[in-house]
Amino acid sequence: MFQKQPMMRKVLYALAPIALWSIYLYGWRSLAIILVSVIAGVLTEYLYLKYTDPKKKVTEAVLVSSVLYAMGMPPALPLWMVPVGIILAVILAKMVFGGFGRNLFNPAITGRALMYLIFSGPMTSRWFTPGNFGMNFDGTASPTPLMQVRSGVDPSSLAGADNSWWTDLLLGLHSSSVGEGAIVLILLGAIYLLVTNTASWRLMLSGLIGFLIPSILFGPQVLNVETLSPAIDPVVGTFSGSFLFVCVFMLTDPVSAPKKRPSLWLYGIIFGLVTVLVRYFAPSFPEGTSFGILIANVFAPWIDEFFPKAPNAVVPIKKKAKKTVAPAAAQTIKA
Amino acid sequence: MEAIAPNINPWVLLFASIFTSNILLSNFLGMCSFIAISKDQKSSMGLGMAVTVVLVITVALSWLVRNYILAPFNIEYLGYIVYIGLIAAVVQMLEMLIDRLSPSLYMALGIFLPLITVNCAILGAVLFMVLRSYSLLQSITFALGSGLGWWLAIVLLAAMQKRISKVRLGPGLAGPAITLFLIGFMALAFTGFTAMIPVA
Repeated sequence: MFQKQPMMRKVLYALAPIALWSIYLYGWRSLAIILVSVIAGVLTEYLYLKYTDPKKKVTEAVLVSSVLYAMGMPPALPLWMVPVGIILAVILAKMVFGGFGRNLFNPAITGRALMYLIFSGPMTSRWFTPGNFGMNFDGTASPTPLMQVRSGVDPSSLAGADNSWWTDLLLGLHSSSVGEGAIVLILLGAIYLLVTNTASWRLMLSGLIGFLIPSILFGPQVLNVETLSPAIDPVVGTFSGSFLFVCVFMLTDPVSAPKKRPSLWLYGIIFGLVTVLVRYFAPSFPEGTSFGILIANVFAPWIDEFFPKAPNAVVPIKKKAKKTVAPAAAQTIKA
Repeated sequence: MEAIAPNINPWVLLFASIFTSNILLSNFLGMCSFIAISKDQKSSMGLGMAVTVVLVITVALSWLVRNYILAPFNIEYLGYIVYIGLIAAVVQMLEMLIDRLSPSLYMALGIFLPLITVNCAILGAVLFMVLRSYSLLQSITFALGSGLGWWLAIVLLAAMQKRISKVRLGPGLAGPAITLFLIGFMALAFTGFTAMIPVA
């Protein structure tokens, strides 16, 4: 049924430990969200292709999009809301533009941005304390680390003597979306993606640079700008919210990223900058990564116009799937 | 009654009207020429530049007309017709001036200059200026920002159109339909900036 895509499979492998850990953290709710999202996403693509282009097979990319989308949902979100975003995303962001490889916008992040607009209440409040395979669910929302620091709580006051706030932050033992909290596992996934040449290190690094520099600039005593949210420590900012997850898994999506090598840097910097701007100044949204990716996607084709002669960042995915890649072409893949 | 100008730094207003309150992507003004003339980079650059120039001139002139003619004689109810006439006159004069002074620029702008008369972004910016009672400096930076924002949006759209131009789209999706999808996505992306900087 599925069209084989080795690259997408590697992304799924990188996501697997995060998904398993999320089942420990949030129990059946996390599993149900992932399953519902995958079924809805695959079914949408299957039905769309069935009625428009029956010769085409469902891509494995839709599995990746659905899992990535599921990872961004708050764990206590009512299950019927989950398919809404992914169905809209697969149709609007992907199929309408001609299917896999042609989409200008990342489907997973489109789905999440639409969910923020459609169900803004549940999307920003349905958190609960993780652990014990989801048995800690008691119907009350506990704030995420990003919400804590945004409301002015000093991390050092929370940390206590044993630094447990920090270990909890790194292991994802705090309220967060299904799969965006486990920093250690996300970093492991990032290393796997980089080692197997699936994701571009340029994108990850530029995203991080684009995030850290404005975080420091808008922080206290550097630029004297009055921000809406209190200063967020750059390190805490990197490890809280969905920044790292999005930077590793969504920013590096080769389809919606620009095609020229120098434009990758600009692309990542736009993403980081917009994320910081939304975190510091936007009154209506708690997290800026979705809009960071979308705005970077909007800018991507234009950035490519600046560097008409620059080398391409990645060879088209179709060529990669073929086994008969000439040695010279194989070299460019690695570069 | 003279309304008091809002307390906004003109530079902040410039930034806000380019990014956070983009006249096209948040107010959806100037849509028709945006959709029609975004097929290639060159003409969208020309149109964007023309819109920016006309915006700055008309908004500044309208501010003067409103505060020194309409307001003192209490004939602000004539505003709409005066502003529309003013825009048409400015565009016409600008066209003749550019033709006389710089034929190359005239050729570059081509058909876009007269088209701007009916671009609702221009009248929209003038009316926002009246509604929010900006000062002269604020009006000029607002107009410049709106023009640059419009320019940026059309250039971005043209680049996206170019990217998808080689793709075979599904039935009924080619042409204006996919353009509307693209604009929808641009607006979705820019909602992240909603209400970030107050402009009124």
